[in-house]
Amino acid sequence: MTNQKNIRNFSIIAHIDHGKSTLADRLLEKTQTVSKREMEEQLLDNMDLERERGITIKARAVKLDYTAPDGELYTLNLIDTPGHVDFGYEVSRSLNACEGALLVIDASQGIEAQTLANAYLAVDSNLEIVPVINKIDLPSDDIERCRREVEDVIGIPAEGCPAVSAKAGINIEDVLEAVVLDIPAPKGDPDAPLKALIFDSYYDPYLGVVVYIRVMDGTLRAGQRIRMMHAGSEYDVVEVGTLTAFGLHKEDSLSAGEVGYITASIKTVADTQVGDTVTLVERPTDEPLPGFKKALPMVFSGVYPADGSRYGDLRDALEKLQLNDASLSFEPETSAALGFGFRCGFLGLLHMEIIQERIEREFNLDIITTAPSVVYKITRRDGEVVFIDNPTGYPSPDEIEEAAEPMIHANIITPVEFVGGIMDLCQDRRGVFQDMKYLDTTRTELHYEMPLNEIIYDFFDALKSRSKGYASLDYEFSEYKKSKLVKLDILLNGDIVDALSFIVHEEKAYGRARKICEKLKENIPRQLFEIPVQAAIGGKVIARETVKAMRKDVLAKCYGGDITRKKKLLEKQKEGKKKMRQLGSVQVTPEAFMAVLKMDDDN
Amino acid sequence: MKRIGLYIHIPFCLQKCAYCDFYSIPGRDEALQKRYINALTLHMKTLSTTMEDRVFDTVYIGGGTPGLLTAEMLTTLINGINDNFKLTEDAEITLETNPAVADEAKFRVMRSLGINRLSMGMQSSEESVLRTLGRLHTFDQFAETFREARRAGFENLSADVMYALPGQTVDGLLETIRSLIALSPEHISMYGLKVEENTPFGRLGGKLSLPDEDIQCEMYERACDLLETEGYHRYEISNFVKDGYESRHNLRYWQREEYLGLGPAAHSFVDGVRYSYPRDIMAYITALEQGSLTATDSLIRITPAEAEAEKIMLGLRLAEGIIATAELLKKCENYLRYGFMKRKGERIAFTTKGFLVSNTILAELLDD
Repeated sequence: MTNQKNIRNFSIIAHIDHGKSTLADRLLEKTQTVSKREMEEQLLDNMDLERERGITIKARAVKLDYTAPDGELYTLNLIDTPGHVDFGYEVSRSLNACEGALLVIDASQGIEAQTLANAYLAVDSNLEIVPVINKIDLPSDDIERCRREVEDVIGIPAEGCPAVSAKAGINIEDVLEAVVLDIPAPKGDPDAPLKALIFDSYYDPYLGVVVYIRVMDGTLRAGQRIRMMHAGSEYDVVEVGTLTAFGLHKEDSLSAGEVGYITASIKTVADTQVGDTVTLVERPTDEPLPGFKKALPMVFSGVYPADGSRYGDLRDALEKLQLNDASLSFEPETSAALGFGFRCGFLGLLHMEIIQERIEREFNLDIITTAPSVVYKITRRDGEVVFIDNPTGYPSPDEIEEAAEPMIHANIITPVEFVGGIMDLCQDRRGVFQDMKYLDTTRTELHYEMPLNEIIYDFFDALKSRSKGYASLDYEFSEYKKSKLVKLDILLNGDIVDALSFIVHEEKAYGRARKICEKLKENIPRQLFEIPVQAAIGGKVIARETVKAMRKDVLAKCYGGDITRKKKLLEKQKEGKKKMRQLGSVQVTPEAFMAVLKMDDDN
Repeated sequence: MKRIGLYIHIPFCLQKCAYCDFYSIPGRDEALQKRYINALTLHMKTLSTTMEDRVFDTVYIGGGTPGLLTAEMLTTLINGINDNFKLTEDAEITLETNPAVADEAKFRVMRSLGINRLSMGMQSSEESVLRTLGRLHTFDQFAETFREARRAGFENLSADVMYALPGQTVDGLLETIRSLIALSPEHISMYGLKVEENTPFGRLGGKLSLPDEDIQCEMYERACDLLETEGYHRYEISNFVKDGYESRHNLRYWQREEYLGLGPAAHSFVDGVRYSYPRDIMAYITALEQGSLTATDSLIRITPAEAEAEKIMLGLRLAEGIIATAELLKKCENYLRYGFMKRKGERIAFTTKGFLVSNTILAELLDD
């Protein structure tokens, strides 16, 4: 057991691409927790997808042994956090496990929306923030500007903060010294009743769920009976230990101030919710730690196997993913158009993309997804309030007393020259301007209140394209607001395709309807019959296109008795057909669905 | 005795055409040609016993451009056939040729050898189109060669034309057909261009400007009408004929009768097995010279289910169509209703509209 005064628990927070993971690597290397030879690049991010996207999806923690220049041995627990807004709650729990945070800022980019959002989270958690200016090896660096920005915008002193290059390994010692000197040691009472915060967990096929905890008060040993205070479930602890770069390291106990893991034959991560408090059954604490929230999905989408016969595989994939991701929810749903699939709930768009990508990549499944939907709050004529996450279940207009949609506070940081274009975009997405702040002479922070519904299609892409990639976005849910919503149905050859229906604001319906009809026309292969493509609201057609009939396909010769060519051609035709979905009398390629989902912003 | 057809592949051309992906070697390597004819003769010798119980009633010498072989080589080849296989009295013996590779004298030799049908590549009467295709001849040369063949005594002549070509118009195609009809061939094949990979056209990809789908349809429909009016009835999707001059050899393919194919890239269908030889002339020659035979590329025993599928796929190429089972008839209900197919007694057949989209419909019918 380490004396509390020699423990430092800290996180690294940053905007995507500002070098958080690289800095973590250097700290591991510098403390010789991991030697250079053993160093896998960005060890903390050990999911393929994370490495490719350069983001951390799940929190990870690692213990570093650091001998300071004064000869003292310190235990530094580095708790990595997801950098994306979808995972805001997970970030806040990870931060609550710490006494301090390193705020990494790219010297050439300065403060971005997520830097700010995460910095505020850290301030809210009463953390000591140590700014670290990164990428000073790049020619465009501007260390002084960065320092000023940190002081002006976040309001914390940045004089003499470490300026490093994580990539080139410059000034990494300064960071370690700042952690020891500036971040306070934990101050828990090892003899008080146990109070430990769950900040992450994962499923291991041999151990069951491995729960990452930070002990706030008290001491925990193997064999003790614990209770998850919010979940209400009880377990016998099998093992406790610390988290090293190479895996779990068994210890006799974990005490106030320490970070580590427990295993207790827990079968699913759903029982170990992030933010829950662990206490002892025998001598429980009076009150759980504050701030627990059940992770609520914000965005829903239908997920279907492209090949209907792989429904079972898709279910297995979702179940396996859920073992490690309690925030993913799913239940079976049936679509007339797409067959059997699942209605999945996600924390946000990135979370949705990650899950979809992992299904395709790790489970080798082609999937078709329906347009993402937010959760609408509908008050029926009879007074009943229902929450609708699937356009299919949207009540008919005469049953609705009032419809409300979720609103968000959007925080956009952009170079000033793009402000005009971005304001137009926000306006177009029904955003209500709140305020605008100059961060410095070149950059501005915009605040809008917007419907979440307008963000989930392509807002982020549109924002990037209007700002040449410079603007950054962060948002959080604010409230439900009354809105004029309609359900738009798409009809192919006169039949409604349920999977293509969506909820849209009345004013937007016509434009969206026209665009979707055009997109479908482009993407539905010509067939033997002419196919009308229509968009309708409650039976009234508001847009129409026609897919012309195919008149000629490829005719193969059977020259010299070689019928293999003809057979191949037919096989190819059949292959193409297999990939298609039969919607009534119309065949539609998965690309057509995707085209409808990916509405490019071309206005 | 069982009847069978013989296909002999002659993989030589003066030059490759821009659209062609059949197996042939451009140039005039007479030594190679001679060796190849000898190899073919050896091959026939090895097969003569196996084929003892069969009689050949059609022979098709295709390519390539078999017409460019010398009279001497042709003589060796035909003698080889006669020495090793039994031919019927009235066997249809076809040879493919191109304009300006054979003259009247050579045609007379062919006639004397018993060749009684010629199939000539005309493709177009428009000089610009011929140049685009990489053809070596003009229309006048085609017409001249055609007349020479007639003078040499050929009473059954066929010519190939193409449509859906780059730079071609509907009028251009109809003009081509009129020019051809003026020469009064017994048989006309009209093929739509299919751009194949690994051909100069294929490599041009999107840069190749083809008539659009509607124009292509108009070409096919109007050409069919014109030919019909002029007394050439369509007996297969791409083949038109004066009564009684159907290609008996080609009918074998569509009616699933047996044929023996010799030479690299040649396909056979014998005893319910389909196979072919690799597209490699040297492998073929060397093996036979060493007294063995090159391995086949594929050897597929056709299952009863496949045979049924083939009957539909191949039989529906014919204007007379096929005898439809109740099950097939059910599947075709909509095609019959909307004019893609027509019914004549117990047979169903494609209409012109249906022929144009036959691949799509066949894929539908053969999907299990």
